[in-house]
Amino acid sequence: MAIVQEHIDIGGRDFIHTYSDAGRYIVGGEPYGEYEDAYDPAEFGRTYTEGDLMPVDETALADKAEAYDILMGVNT
Amino acid sequence: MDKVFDIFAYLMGKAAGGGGGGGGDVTVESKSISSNGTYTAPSGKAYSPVTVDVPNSYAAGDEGKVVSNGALVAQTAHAEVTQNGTIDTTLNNSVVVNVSGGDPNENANKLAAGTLEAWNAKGLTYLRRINGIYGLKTAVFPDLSSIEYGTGNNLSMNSALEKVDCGLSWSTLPGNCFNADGNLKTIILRRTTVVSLRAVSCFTNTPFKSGGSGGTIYIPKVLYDHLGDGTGSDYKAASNWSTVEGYGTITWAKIEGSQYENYYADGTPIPTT
Repeated sequence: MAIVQEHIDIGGRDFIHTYSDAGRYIVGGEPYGEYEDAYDPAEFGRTYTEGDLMPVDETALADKAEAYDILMGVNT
Repeated sequence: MDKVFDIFAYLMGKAAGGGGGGGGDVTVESKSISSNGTYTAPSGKAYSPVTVDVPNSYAAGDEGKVVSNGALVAQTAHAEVTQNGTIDTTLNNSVVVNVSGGDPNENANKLAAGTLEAWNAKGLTYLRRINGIYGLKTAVFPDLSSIEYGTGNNLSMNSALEKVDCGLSWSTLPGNCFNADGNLKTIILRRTTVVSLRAVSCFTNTPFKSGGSGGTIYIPKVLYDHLGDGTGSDYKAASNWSTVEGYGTITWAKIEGSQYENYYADGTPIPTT
């Protein structure tokens, strides 16, 4: 469970991509607040901390559950 | 001599209003007329003066009367309308509509079938998920301040959506907010501080994506004037916005001086108080 940061080139400009590997918001950035993930120009040196767990997409979960049931022959 | 006096008396009697057929008195009386009609004085009577005062405005008891076009027309308040249908409201000065019931999801799907083109969500302060309103072209949120975050789509999957107008309180664009709104070309952000872009996925499959056709984002002059000024606190340098800016698909414009300065995206005037 950690903050992950990686460099990425976008349009010839060096950006830092920041995210949590534990499905949590990251807190910081500009404007200061919660982000799902963040891309920042490297020169700004922005930092983040881990925040709350992000909500799960309920619709996606329901679709996955239904697909699983179909595969397992539950809903026949 | 007697015949002379008889003749004189006869003539006097005639002068006093005797009938043409051989004498008799005629009574003269006044006549007041208050409604349309033909008035004939009975035998032995005459009318003088005649006063006419036919009402030309609604009075109690006139309900339901239609005299003729341009004349007396009375109206009543209609009873509450509670179901679809064709109703003649010619004689009604007010109609109360209260059609409800049915499956809310079915009703929402009917809206999604293209009947709702512009939606001014005045008074709506919290938005969770409304993806799927396929016919909606213009969405205005004057009072929205809270949106459910996370991976849930909000205004997404609407290929008809062209304009979104965010009020002063809208402070955050969540991930996938406009995902798959393939015709979204105008976004108005009225907040006077930078709106947080929680994830670049907000613009996935929109004209603002990398390689997209582009669109215009209207912002207040106070922010427009500081675009790219190197302070890191404007839209071009903000977290995630800086990335979308790098796509080259955003045209920034000032709200002031634009068609949106005094009107929301749906054309309704912005209250001045």
